[in-house]
Amino acid sequence: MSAGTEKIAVTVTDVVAVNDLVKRFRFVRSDGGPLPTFSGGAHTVIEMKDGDVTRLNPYSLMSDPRDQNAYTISVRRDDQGRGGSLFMHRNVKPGDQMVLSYPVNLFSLDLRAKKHLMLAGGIGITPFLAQIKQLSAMNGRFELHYSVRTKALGSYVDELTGKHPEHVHIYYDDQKQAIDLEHLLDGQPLGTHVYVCGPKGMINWVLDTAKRLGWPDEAVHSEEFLAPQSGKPFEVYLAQSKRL
Amino acid sequence: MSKFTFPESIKSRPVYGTLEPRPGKAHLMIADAEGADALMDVAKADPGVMAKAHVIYIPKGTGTKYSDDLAALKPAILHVSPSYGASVPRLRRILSDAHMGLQIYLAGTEGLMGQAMQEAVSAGIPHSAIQTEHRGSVARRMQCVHCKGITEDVMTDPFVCSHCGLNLFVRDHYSRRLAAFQGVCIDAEDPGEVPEPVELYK
Repeated sequence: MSAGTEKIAVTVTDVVAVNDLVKRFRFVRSDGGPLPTFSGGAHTVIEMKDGDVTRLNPYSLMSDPRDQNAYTISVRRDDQGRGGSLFMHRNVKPGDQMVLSYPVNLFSLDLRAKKHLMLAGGIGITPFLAQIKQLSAMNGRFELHYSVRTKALGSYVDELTGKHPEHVHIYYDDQKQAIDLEHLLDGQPLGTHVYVCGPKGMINWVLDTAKRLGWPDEAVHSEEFLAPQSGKPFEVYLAQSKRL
Repeated sequence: MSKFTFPESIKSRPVYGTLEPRPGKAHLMIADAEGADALMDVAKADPGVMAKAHVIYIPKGTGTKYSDDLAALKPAILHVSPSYGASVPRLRRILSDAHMGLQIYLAGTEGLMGQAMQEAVSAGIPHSAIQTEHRGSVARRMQCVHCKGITEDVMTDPFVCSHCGLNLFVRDHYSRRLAAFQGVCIDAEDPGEVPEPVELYK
């Protein structure tokens, strides 16, 4: 993930409830300096001091990658999760001091693409928010297909459809709307790259369909927003300093 | 001798594989001379592919033997072109109309595969997603690093640049952008001291 990257001390400036499940957090550097720029799709790892436990959760940065004043993230509350999102929802308030890692990008745009086709499911929208800001600034060609459960839970739907009415398509699960994936992938011009971020089932659906339709692996990108299962704890012996 | 195994070389030198049918609704096949044999192998492995295939074939002095064989495979479209250069407008048109999922198969000489790959890459297909298979002549497309002129079908090392006349040493250093190997003056220090030309890979 992001082990070993440098850390940044930040202050929480805003906590906004986007809807029943999602809250948005805005961070500025505690020392007042500029934050590093990043590239769309990057995430930061947030350190949460939850009593005796330190939780490390990665969240995609959704702010403009060129904006060095602040980082924003959106956190979906997961009542069955390991507890990081609940901590963010319940405990984090404006004025809190927190520690973030430097941005790390494992889901970057391939800028050689002639067109970027983005498929988002639920909170998987967050990396695309930054990527769309990045592409808009450089006149990049993109098309977003965003699947949400209901109108009320569609985070940032209005913002996206308002700013990019020609390039954003929304699908509401409760209205039985679904991405017509086969047709969508089939009609893409040469040089299109597809990006998918969402639940595992959606990612596998896109990867499998793209493969069957003959898309090269190099043009298919994905990021799952669930944290991987943590491994078993182990001890490390440092050979030079002879310490455990 | 239609299949030749190139000895291992520097990283810059292209490595060719063996064509295999891949899933896709459209297939673009480009071959010259003995490269037709590689396309026939693809058709043999999956006869269904040819009905969706657009084939551009450049006989390069092999007469009508291969083009007749290819026609017998009943590809969706077979275009026999007198030269690669003459087929470029067609190739560009195919690529500009194509959708993602198009499979590209290149077979034959290095010069043909390199140039067709350059067109496909500039149309947006990752170079590593393009299949290639070398067949036939080991002649190379060379760029003179001094005058930048391209000499096609170079069979000997050293050779004389067809543009500026310098004696050029044939390097394995390859440019995907130019679809050519690098030729460097061999007698710059001692003009006239040119080794006897040797046929490539003899």
